[in-house]
Amino acid sequence: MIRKVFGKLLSRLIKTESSKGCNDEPCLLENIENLDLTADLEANLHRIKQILGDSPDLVIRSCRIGLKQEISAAIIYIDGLVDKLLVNDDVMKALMLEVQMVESKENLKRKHILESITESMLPASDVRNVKSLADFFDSVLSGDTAILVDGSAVGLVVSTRGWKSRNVEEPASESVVRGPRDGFTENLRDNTALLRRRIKTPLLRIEAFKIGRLSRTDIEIAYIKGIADEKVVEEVRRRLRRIDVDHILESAYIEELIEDAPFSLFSTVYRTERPDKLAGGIFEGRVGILIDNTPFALLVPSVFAEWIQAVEDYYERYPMGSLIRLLRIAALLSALLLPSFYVAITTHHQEMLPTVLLLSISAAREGVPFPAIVEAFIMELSFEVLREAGIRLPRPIGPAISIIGGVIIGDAAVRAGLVGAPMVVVVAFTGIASYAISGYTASITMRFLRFGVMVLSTVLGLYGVMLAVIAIIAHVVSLRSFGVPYLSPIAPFNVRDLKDVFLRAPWWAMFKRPRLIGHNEPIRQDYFLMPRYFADEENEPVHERRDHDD
Amino acid sequence: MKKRIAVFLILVLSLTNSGCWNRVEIEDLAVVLLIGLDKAKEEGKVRITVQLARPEEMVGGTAEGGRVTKKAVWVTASTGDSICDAQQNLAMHVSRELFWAHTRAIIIGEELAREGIAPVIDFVDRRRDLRRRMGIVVVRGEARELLEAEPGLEKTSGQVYSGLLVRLFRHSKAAVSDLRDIYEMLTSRGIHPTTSSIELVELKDEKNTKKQPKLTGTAVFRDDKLIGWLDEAETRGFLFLKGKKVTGIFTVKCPVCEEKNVSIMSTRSSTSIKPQLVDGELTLAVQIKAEGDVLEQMCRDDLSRPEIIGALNQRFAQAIKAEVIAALNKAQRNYQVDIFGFGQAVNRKFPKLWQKIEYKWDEEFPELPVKISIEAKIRRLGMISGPTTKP
Amino acid sequence: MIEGGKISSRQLLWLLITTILSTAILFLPSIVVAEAKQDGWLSAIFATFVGLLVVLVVSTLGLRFPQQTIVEYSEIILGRFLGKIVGLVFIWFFLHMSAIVVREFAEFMVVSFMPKTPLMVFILTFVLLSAFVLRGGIEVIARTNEVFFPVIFFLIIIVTILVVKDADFTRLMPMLERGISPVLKGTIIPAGWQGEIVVLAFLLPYLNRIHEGRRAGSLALLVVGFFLFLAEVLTVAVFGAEVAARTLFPTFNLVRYISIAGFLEHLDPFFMIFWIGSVFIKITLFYYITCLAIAQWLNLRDYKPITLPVATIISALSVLLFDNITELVNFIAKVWGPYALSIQLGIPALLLVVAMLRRQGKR
Repeated sequence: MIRKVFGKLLSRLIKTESSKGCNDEPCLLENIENLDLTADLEANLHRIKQILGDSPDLVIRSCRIGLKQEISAAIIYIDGLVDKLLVNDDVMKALMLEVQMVESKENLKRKHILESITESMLPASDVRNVKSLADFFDSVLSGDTAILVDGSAVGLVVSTRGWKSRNVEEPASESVVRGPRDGFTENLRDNTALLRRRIKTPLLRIEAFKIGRLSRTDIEIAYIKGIADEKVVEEVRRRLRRIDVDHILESAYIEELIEDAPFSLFSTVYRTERPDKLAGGIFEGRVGILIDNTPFALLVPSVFAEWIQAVEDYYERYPMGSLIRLLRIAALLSALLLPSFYVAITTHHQEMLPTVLLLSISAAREGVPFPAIVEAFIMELSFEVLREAGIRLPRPIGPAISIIGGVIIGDAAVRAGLVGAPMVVVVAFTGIASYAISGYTASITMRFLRFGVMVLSTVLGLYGVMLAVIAIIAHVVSLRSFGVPYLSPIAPFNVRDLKDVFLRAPWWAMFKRPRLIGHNEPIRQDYFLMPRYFADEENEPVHERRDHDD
Repeated sequence: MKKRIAVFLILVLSLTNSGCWNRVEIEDLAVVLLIGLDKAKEEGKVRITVQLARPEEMVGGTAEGGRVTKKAVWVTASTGDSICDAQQNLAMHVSRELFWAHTRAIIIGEELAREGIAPVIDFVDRRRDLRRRMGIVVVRGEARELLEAEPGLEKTSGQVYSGLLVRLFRHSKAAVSDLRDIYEMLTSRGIHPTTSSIELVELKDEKNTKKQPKLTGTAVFRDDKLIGWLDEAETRGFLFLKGKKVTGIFTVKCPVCEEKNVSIMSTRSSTSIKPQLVDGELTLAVQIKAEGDVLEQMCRDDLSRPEIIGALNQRFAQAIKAEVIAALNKAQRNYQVDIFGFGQAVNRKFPKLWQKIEYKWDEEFPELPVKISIEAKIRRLGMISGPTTKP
Repeated sequence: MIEGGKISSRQLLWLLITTILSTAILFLPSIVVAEAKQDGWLSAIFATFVGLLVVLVVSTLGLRFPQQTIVEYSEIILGRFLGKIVGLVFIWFFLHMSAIVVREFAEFMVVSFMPKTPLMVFILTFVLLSAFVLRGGIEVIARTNEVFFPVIFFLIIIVTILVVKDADFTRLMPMLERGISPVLKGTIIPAGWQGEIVVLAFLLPYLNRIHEGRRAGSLALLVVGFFLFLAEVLTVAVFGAEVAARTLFPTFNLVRYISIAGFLEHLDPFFMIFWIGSVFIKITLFYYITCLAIAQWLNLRDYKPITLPVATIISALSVLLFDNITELVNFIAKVWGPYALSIQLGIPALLLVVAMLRRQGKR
């Protein structure tokens, strides 16, 4: 339904009056899909100018090629999107100088001029033919340089893309202590390169899509053929193809348009700006979706377990990785439940507190005017506002605000008797805990749910908390991400895959890929990879040899 | 969609409109630390005394300059026709919600205990906020007095009670039964309830006398009625016979000089109770094994000789036996109640016979022959092996 | 088919364990100990055998009529009219059982958890949440259970470990003090619980490998039997038979009795919320089966439209069935065993005999 309305809107935008000759702008725009280049260079150039509305960054360089300079041609590119050096060296020089030389040897025939140029004269690496105007614009507006020759209805497109783009830097949202420090950039080609650097198997497949009626955004999916489930890949293609919006600015657009549970607070598509994370997923049998103009790539199918998996777990030795992961689970649970537990226990189940703690909380709250739940809401909300402000503020001020907010307001609130000190401790810990979860979006989900649980906890105590937990779990287990149950391998339970959920098994024990994701080619590696010493003569281990020397 | 909205509205309204039934803010609680129950002066009435914590004073360190510090607890009492009634009357003058779950113990006054403690057990176990872990002790005197006592080291007598309870193993001269134990002893045949007694001792210093609670000895019940006490030595004997582990110091005369004392710390003990049928007559063979260390020697003799140790072993055994026999005599002759659970032992060994004597066990018990054999061994002599004088 | 989902035999196993154990572990010990005294654990073992008999009958029937639930194949076996009556009996039975479980749960919450909160609050919140969950079908119920089950399993073991130090196993002696008859008398009630395994008759068609159903059912009974045995042994060993029989929820009291290092006490609300999770699974499963049975009985295409009406009936029934907790306990102790067993074991056995005589279904 939405699509219909949108289509109408678009056609109303474009369609003003229809005329026969189709030389005016609206008509051209409307028929851009059907129009082809013509053999008349002047007409072509006129049309192009008309369609682009005499845009100042459009560069049309007319020239004459051939020994007798009798063939007029034009080089067309968008200023800023192309690498000028490339255009000058590979295109202009070739056309204006080398074409002449070549022609002296054999007569350049108009008919074959394009083939000749492509085959023997243009030193550029990537040259294609375009016939339709739509293709022409897709290329030129993406940074290619087009060569139109008079008398030919086919244009040449030389890849000269080169624009100012950010260097490969450490990803801001997912930093690690140990591990690669490169992150995706806004440049799609750089990103696929980063991916290729990690996955050198020829089986890596990258497929291109152009999505967005107006934005014409490049989108590419990457997967390993044979490991990724073909059904999932086909499903990804299907869902991408049915997207028909006017623009895509960020991966979130795609995410919202392809996710399984559009009404859920839980995201069934994983996003990352780390090439190693994406590559890891692809190695498991997932499908990566790279989007131009954003450093964030998507990874599907996504499961809940990814919330507690950080890349660094895999780069630390496994005992540390596992312990840190347990810590992260504790953080996840506290981020969701701690304030509710605090409210429930201090207002309903005081017997659970040890006597001394009960008395000290009671003493701290003496004189606090609000019930615990109001106290919790005040503190939680102010923390959320602080967090939001910290993000929006200019870099240098952000940390200052957090300090002022965290320390001063917290302390002042306690001194002023607005809240009790224990509540400040709880809220501060919860706030910090929510950042220990892997993925920024995940922590937002937890924070949202937290408020709901808090309301129930004050009305029904721990029973209310449990009701909320049941509802959340029942919802989460009902989700699927591209066919894979969201809470797998916990539910449906699978012992084999639990090795990478609550703990991080050592790499020599990860024999198999996740059952529901990598079932195409389940065996990841050989068994018996655990490092150990063998007692055979030939391969005598180093440390034993040393013993003999002594 | 409309249906969903309706369901949602019903949920929201039912949650918000009816209020928060069980919700009590933590600062509105009056935390009860100890409960004291006495017989009231008026006929047929009960008096309940509670020790309520004042949070700020209990936590301490928060008293800022110039403020008058109050006592850490507030002891208040009320009477009523039943315990619940008394409790309700109490609530009439306590400004906060009485919170019982943290009660350390119930102190029962002697007079009330003589009338029967079954109503107390009923009152406690019916409640959801009082637990079976809670101790029940009988005070020699009035419970109220004990609750009002201002102890030396701690802020409240409740804390004193907890501290003493944890350290009972130092002397084994008292044994607190918790609610579970008493309930079981009350309802099972072949045993009568016992629990520790608590009393106030006066400790004098320069200025004033402080009254300090002390767990000592045992209160003996026939069914639910208090009938008497066991003193400290008898209590240890009683614990041996009940099969509990007894740790504590036994003082015996030195086998060499026969004058000065040697202190032996019993470190572990075990008891086996075997009912036997000898010529159709029921007898009980009690075998006690104990191990101990020498902790102290007041004479100059060298104890570190095997034959001396052997002699010490015998005296250790005699010391134990004296206490055991004292306890047995008190139970069989004076009180004539089976506080040891011998009846239960008979039941386990001879269920058929037990069914015949179950209901007249109280008459059989005083006549029951009990054979006591004790095996006591000294294992260690501490960090030194000889006396601290010249030979 | 009304239900499109499939569950694995592990999911079935876990689901069955949670379903039977959740209320059994709380309500049974006291009732059984009241009859069998310290031999209650024997009753738990005997009851497991009765349950195994139910599994045998129901799974044999299920294998004869794969793809069908008992409501459907009873019509084939007994003919349309009699079959519909059998279906109606089962619908009533599950409706009744759902209502009883809801009431049991709510009573427990009021008695031991939140005395000032009205009974209706617990009933409504729970049933409505159930209604929300069962819309996801059997898969969602099974998966929700998969999240709770390991936690509950783990907690039972923790409680056992924490409680053992207070246990005195001589309290279990003498064995068979008054002969075997009290034990047999005490068996009927837990047998009614173990007989709840009759839910297999509705779940087998949705098992992805139907032949594993019998094994899963038997294993579930053995696990439940073991935990019931443990509960009987521990309640008697900690409290003694007399006190255990006089206590409404002895296992709950066991949890209340826990004290870790004298510091962590009163942890019962924490353990109880996970118990709530398991009862929730039980109620949702029974409620789901009720809806499924009604939908199949009326030849509906979907059970979802009748979930809310059924929820209303269950809520109302659970309030109206009993006036007070004594009636509830009395019903469970006196009536429930024979009543439940006649439906759980009697009807399926009858169906099986007729099916065998008429040589119906696969073999």
